[in-house]
Amino acid sequence: MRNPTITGYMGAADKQLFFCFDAPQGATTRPFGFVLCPPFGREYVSTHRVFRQFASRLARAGFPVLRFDYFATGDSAGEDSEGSLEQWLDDVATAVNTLRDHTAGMPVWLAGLRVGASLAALYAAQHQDVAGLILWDAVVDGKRYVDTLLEAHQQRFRQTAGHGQTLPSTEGVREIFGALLSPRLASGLRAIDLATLPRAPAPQILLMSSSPQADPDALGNRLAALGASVDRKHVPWPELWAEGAEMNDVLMPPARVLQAMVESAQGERR
Amino acid sequence: MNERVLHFGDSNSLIGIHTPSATPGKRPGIVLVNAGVVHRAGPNRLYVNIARRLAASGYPVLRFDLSGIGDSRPRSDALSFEKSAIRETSAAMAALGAESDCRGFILCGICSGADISFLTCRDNPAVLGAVLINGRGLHGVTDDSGDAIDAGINSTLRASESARYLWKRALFNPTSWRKLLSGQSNPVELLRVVGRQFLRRFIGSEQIPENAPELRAAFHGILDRGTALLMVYSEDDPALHYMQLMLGKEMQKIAGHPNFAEIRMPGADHTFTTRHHRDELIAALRRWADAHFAT
Repeated sequence: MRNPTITGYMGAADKQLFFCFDAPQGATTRPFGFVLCPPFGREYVSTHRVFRQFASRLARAGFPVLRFDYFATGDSAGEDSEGSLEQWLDDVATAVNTLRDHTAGMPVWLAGLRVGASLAALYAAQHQDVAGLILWDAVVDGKRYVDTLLEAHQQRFRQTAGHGQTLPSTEGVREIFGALLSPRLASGLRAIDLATLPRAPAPQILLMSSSPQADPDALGNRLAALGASVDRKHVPWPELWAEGAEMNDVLMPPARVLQAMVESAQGERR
Repeated sequence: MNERVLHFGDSNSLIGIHTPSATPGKRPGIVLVNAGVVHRAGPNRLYVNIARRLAASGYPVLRFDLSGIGDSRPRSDALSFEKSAIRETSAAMAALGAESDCRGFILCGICSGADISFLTCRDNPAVLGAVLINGRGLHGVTDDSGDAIDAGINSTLRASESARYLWKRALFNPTSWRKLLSGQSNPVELLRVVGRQFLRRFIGSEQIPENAPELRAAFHGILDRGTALLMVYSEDDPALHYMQLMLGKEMQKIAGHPNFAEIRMPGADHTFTTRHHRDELIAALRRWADAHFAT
């Protein structure tokens, strides 16, 4: 039997990125493929299993799917402190090209979670070459996102270790729950503001929310005003990426959320 | 970057990342075993950094996913987790041996990864050394071994339901045990609630855990055949107290064995969340490996 999964590295020799491509399974092959954009830091670790499940469900529904790790994260090349928003947008471009290589140029949708959704939207707005987007609890306000993570990290280590090891290094690198935040990355992330996108990132957009805190209306209204066809879905699920998430929630992928996204994708024609 | 994805095991269902050694030599290969359900990059990307820095020092490294974890496919047979984990770790050693031509191996893992490393080390003489980080020997994989202690703790803690709940929840409930892997539970905080006095009282009691003799015998068997062991504990990690309970006075005898070394890391949490502790851990691992295996 042909192995439906191909794993390897892609991109420039000095910036190799790990990827995992799932070929479409079953009798129906859909007219477009997916690139999945993961979140960052602890959120990446706690949702790795979710992304694998998501890719598997999409592939079983007939979509080719490519997952990958950004530079300086996961299995990709790079020191922990070398990530940057600009680099990660380039990485999305590399992933899009790799998916096209594996699918003879099929149209591409991007699906991302949290900051991965923000990257998907920013890439799409910049390049105007993706057919659709699934933005799952996207980080709309990057400044708030960074400040919240830094505060949560400081609070935790004030309460416990308190030995001062999480103070910025001489290069200004901060720590957020095991991930490193360089000044360059912090600046890039803080600059995320999806509410001020200058143009519609894609013709079709699904705003998926599972967080009880989600408020996708403002973003949805903005994207619709820019001319995108916006669909909104809310399937409540605990924030599996949050600091206080129960491990049960992490171990049990959010099946209903994933299914809602797959069904939505199945309803699209391109 | 010269890392490569390897597929190995039954039906090539397991996936691992091979980081070749930077220099040709005859150093053993290092196999990193999943910390709970965290995939092969490791908690806080620790395994990636261990692999790259140790490979730069001359050790070929393979970090891989056990079946059903990360990107490895689940097993289709009914083999127990303990047996499948040992078999798959041995398969990882064979895969690394085929890639790098190394003949001996060091196993390394955090928490359940330490436990699987210990069990594989016990059963496979090709393991020349093992680094067991916040591990509990047999318990993490074979849950039965914790039952006697659990029962003892329950009876001792009847008066304090909240402490009993926390203790049982964090140490013996498999779900929360996995939670510890991610560093989300805080062992130090837990111990503050439970209290060291209680631990001392329990250690001093006559209740000897059922699997304790088996664990002691396994330690002696491994060390006496010449395999080097490095135990690493974060400050006040429940694993350390568990091992004290299981080994009792035998711990001193084991600690005196020439093949045994132990490091305790003040301020570190279960998964080495801070960069400073990750760097310290990797440096300690390299020093230990060089002292035993650099020729």
